[in-house]
Amino acid sequence: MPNQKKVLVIDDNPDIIENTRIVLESEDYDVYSAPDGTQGLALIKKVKPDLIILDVMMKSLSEGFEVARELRSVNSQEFKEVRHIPILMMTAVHQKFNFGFDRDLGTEWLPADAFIEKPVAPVDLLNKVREMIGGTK
Amino acid sequence: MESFSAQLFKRARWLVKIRWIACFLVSGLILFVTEILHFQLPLLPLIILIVLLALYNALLAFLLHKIPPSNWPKRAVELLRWQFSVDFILLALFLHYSGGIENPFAVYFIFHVVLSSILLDRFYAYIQTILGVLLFLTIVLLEYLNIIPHYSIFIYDQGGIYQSPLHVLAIVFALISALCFSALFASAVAIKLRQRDQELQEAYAMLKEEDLRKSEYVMMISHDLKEPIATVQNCIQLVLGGYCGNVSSPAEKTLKRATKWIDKMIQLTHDLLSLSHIKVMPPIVLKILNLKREIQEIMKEHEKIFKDKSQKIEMSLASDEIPIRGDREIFTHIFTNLITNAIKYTPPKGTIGVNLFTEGERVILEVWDTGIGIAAEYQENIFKDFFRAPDAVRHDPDGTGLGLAIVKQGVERLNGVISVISPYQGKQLRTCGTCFRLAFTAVLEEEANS
Repeated sequence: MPNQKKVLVIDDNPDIIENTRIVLESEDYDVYSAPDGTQGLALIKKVKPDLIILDVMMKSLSEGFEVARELRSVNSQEFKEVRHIPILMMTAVHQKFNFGFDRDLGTEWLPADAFIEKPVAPVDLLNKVREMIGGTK
Repeated sequence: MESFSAQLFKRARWLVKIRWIACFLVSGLILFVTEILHFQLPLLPLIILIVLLALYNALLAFLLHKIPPSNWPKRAVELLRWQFSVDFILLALFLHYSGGIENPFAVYFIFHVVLSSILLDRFYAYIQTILGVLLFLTIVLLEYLNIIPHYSIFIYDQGGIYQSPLHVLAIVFALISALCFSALFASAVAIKLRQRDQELQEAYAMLKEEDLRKSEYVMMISHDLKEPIATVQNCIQLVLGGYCGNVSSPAEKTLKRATKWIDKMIQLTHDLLSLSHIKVMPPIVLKILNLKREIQEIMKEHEKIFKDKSQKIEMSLASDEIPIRGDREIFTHIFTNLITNAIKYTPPKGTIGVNLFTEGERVILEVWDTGIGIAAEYQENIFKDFFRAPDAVRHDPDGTGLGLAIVKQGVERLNGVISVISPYQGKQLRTCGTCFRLAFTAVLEEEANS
């Protein structure tokens, strides 16, 4: 289907990627995946997805945040074309403590458009994705 | 734990109180011996001495009150050394005007020596002792040699004991040896006690450090457990959601049972993570936090749940903005936890209330409900890890018993205190279930604006 919306899932847990793929494909999203930040950033440039689903805690405690910061960094020419792509970040509650997450500072501090708390129920994930980029069907 | 100097400072305040008692007792004693026993004492110098003692004590009390806490330790030590010397001089003068060596209250020198030996370092304690000995000797000797007058309190047939060399020698020897032994023993005991105190402080610091290590360990384990459990949960959700084809009815029922247990495990690891995290968190920079706005926001988020359970809400928030020094995420965690508890343990059609007001320099936040309450015998345990009161278990078997422990840790992180009142008599004088009362230090307006 040519008009399919593309979603890139970056997570170091292959089973979570697989499950997310099953859920998103059930709604005809075109799902791409990367197991870490580096491969994720490369794929963003290549695929230019409509949405990036990013796990915060991968190899390092804050790999997800680092990926998002790199992508949104104003000075970076490398990601100029893909800087606008919305990011849905998957966090665990306690990570807000870890990173001084502050609602007042919003996206300036944390370059993500939305957060969803893990573990994510399939219905909640689909609702959030639909809310952010609309349905495919 | 307090430093030695801080303890000295505290004791100085205590000594001021003792000195007031001394003023009172000495005045009473003088009245008694002159009016009832008809002793001939030189009243004027004694009254002047009492006034001097009172004035000097008032000055000390004023200074102790006025010196800011940051200047406490060093000055407190100096103050203490100095005040023992003054006490000795005053005691010696009292003794001189009330019979000198005849006065049985000479033994009070021992009392002074013991006090200074306990409160001062050994070196200074010995200096005070030597001063005491010299003062006593000087008075006895000068009176003996008739250089200064002797004020007799007892009438003797032949001159009085202050003129009897043997008697004077015996009393001087007995008293001075008693002073020296008291100083030796009391400082030896005080040194032991201080060593023990030091050891206790070190042991306490070590335990705290070990506790921190334990919390880090718990945090790591909980985190490692959470990921696999969450993945299993995700897989089951997929099957139950029909994403992997049709599920037979018995399989669905079995998977739902599995989900129930997995949810419980996730809640437990989640609570363990929050609790251990809040314990190991490095000191946080507290920012100005407007409680009223935070409370209104969180209450709004819970509106639907209140409605679903037909619970009434009664908010009584002070009309002014009430800022405290806090951390938004921690406060959100605390308040959400208390509200969730209130919802959980209050039956439908019950009432949940929030009061926010100032009480002097403190900001008081009360979260109350008309729920099942907490029996008096369990109230002291409810903030302990994993403790659950039997009523709460009956009402909600799946709780982890960590919620209130997290709340308490959070409140302490914000330098506040939490207490529980159950049954609670609200402003409307109605018996309610439970009230959690949080007290924080208010922030001054100028501070909040800056």
